[in-house]
Amino acid sequence: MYAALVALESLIYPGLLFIFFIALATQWIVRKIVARMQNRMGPAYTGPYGFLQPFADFFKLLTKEDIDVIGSAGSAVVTSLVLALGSLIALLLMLPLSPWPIYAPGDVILALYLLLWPTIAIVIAGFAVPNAFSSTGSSRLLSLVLAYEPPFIMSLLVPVVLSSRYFGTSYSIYGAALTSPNLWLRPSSAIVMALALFSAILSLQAKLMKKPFDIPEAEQEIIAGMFTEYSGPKLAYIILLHDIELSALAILIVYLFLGGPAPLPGLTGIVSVALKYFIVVLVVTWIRASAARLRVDQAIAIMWKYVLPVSIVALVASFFV
Amino acid sequence: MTLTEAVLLASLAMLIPAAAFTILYLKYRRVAVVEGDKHWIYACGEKWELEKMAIAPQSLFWAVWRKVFSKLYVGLMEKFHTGVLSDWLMYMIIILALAVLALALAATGG
Repeated sequence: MYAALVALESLIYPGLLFIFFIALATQWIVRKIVARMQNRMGPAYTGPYGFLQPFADFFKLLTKEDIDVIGSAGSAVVTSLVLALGSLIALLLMLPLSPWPIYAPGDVILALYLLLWPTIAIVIAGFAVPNAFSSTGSSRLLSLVLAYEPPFIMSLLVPVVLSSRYFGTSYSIYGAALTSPNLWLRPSSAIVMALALFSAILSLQAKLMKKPFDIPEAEQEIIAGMFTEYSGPKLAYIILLHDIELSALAILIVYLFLGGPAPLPGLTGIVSVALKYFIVVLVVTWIRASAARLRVDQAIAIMWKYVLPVSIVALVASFFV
Repeated sequence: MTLTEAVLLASLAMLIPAAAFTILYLKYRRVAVVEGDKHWIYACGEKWELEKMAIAPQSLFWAVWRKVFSKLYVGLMEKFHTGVLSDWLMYMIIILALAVLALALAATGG
């Protein structure tokens, strides 16, 4: 019975339909914010205030010719992309957003595994075509992964460890998300949470390949990196994966670090979650629109010299405070 | 719920949307008509042979890391590569002593 409910919510809420709408609506918000910062209009013609433009773009790409260049492994790309999309939906079902959540003691390992899928899919997409630009893009992404993934994982572990120590949530993402508002009420754990939040936001920027970390798809240097050879439905899924990754990770940060629906009670908590989600998206977009691209070695140096030590300090401190 | 059950449910929650996306892809995509050079690899207008198109991923990957760690490598080399044989003997003894210590700690359970 529970499996049937999980299957149903994976398709509707907070699954496919919900996240599809949220991700494309977020894309519209991001495009509007970036356009405002660059003194442009952004999407304006399709739907009210251009709101339907991302939806139109997706369905237009989906119905275009599906071109596989010679020597490429098209079906492997599609398989990895759809599994990556599925992994992010499964991750959403592990949060209090879900009416019938997936949770168990130690499920943080499962969440970390699901979080890796989008990166793996994009790397596969780059290496699946015999193109120098695609290989370069995937290679850059693999290099970046070793720079941003350790601080990102360590930052996510901080609220999980603190919640387990204070409230006995047994290293569960769901438990940590439920108890995270209380972690801001103690001065010692609040400082640790603030350090972890700083580290999580910066490594999120790199994980999402947003400026200044858009090195793998640097359009002025390597055309479009991993995505150079993709068009039509595969490109539609790649863009959708980017958007869903932004939305899912922003929701994850809202629940793990920013206390989810707190301080508003009951159904009004939805307003609180929406506001915090918008703030996370705004911060990511603001950095993206105002920063210039780093070189790959500069990005790794920044991550290892500044972000990684902060996340290590936060994680170690979370075992003692 | 146990962790095994959670893994199974998460797999289910992952595979069902993945299947839905696959159906969407198969239903709406248009099979490409083979004409002109649209199936050829993009190389900024240059004509490359297929065998020369791709770069070995491992060489690209390590090239970045060589660059990142070049300062550290050069620094260590200048400090430790003295050319004196007895220095190397000392390094080997230190490394072996550390290895024995680690093994002893592991054997006694810390």
